[in-house]
Amino acid sequence: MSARGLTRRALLGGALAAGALAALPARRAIASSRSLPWRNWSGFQECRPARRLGPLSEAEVAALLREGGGVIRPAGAGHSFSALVPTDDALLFLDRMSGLVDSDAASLQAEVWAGTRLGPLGPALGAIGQAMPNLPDIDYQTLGGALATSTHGTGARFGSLSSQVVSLTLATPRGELLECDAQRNAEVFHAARTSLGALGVVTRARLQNQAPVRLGERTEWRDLDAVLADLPRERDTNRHFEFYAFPHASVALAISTNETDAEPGATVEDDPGGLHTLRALHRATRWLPAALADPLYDALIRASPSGERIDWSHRVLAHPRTTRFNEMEYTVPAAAGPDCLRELLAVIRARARRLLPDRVPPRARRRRLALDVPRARGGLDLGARVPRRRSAALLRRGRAGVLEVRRPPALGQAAHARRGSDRRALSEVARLPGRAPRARSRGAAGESPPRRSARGLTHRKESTRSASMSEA
Amino acid sequence: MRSALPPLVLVWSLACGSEPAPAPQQTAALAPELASTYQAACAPCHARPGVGAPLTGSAADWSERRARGIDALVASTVEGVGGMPPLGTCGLCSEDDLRALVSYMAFVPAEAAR
Repeated sequence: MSARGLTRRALLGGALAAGALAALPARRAIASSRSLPWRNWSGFQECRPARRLGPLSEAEVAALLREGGGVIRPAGAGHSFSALVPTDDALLFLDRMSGLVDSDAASLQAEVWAGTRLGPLGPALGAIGQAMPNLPDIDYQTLGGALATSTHGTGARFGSLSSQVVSLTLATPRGELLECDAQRNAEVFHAARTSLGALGVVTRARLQNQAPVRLGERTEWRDLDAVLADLPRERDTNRHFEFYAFPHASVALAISTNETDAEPGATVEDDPGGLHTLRALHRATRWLPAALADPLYDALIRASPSGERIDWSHRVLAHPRTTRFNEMEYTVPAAAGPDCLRELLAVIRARARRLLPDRVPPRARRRRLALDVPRARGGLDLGARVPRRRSAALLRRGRAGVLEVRRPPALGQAAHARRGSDRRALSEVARLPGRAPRARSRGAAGESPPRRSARGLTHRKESTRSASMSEA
Repeated sequence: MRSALPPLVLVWSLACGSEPAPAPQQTAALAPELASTYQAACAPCHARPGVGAPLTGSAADWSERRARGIDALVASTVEGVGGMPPLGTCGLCSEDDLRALVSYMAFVPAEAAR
């Protein structure tokens, strides 16, 4: 089959064919004194791959896929919270394929190897007079991983990073190198821009950039109600606008970012440890009665400074982070957003005065997994009384099922794992006395079943996007 | 998927705030391939003052950590510790790679890293 005219169906067929191949020795496997586990950024996804593959060229990527060798999953910097990567077979990293391939000053386009981290990419593009129009909040990711997961930033006029791609090269499961753009293999191109790694391995991408631009990021503490009332205007009049709400406080952190000609400088510094501070403030005030604790907490937050940072866009849009978290996102109609947030905050205030989404270090989490559900229940639903030993036994039985369902098919893997064990665990938990929430895994693929209303979302203890806002 | 946390600008110095940048020191050479790994995976935090990570070559940052021994430091890197993710975002690194990178940053003599 020629590369031109390949369809998505043909690609998937190739994936199945690749999976049928017997294991072959993989080149560029990484020698190691012992097998190391792989874990994602938050530590909630993990595996112990038999092989780690680090090809040096597109030809090697294609050969690895052509030779088969069982399941091969491409991995980036491990910043996805979904179960895209874990496999016991082979992980393929493009870390050795990084940097610029070429660039064109007239069109402001640059072709970039997919293993390039977004952090170093900013200065590299700046050196050739280009800049990515938008960036996510964190720039640790590889370009390939960011594209595969539709990583995005803020700004109503911007799409995700995938929207900046004008062409890409895809190593298909058959081991072919397929060049794609809006004219050539267009269907594959559009799918591969956010493929979750399911169509093959994107080895390089040509980005539509812009001239370097300075941005001014202004942060200020404002009343949450005022921010919500003014949201449409803020969204439409700023290049970027975002805000963060906090449980037990009436204040919001509003951040507007716009282009500027001013010289770089800052009246406030980015504080990557700020979340630790906010958590400490919350804990320091929770022992007081709510009538005193909430106003005090509110006042302490408001006392922190507002200000502005001005710098080149790649230094303003991305921030260093020292608080690792697990994140989930929910999309709701923009018009319903404020009401949805108000409802979430009201439920937290009314039912979980002491609750603050928290991160459990991975090692401790594994030991304490069985205890987490009753702990959360005590905070969220005082009507439920579940013996810890009983819930722990249920979770132990359900854990095997959870490990199965957290692994979607990868290259060469045909079928989804069965969810029977997971269902059994859920049904057993549903029979517990009181208003017990359903059990769920800590991984994204083991998320709770859909609820009928947004109100149900508040039962999740994991650090959701909205909860991460409220980690203070 | 957006990676979102607020660019908090609080200045209470409970965590990592006004840490002076140490003078860069390099005593252990890295192989060229590991040097690029260091730049991509380690330097964004370990060469950036104020992030809270121990800075490469800073005796003040590493003295207590070095006392735990290189094996413990490598184990922390594999597991992830504090703000550092598992494997320090270098999924491709072998244990030997991590040992070399940690030794480089912690200023541990090469013979003690084995």
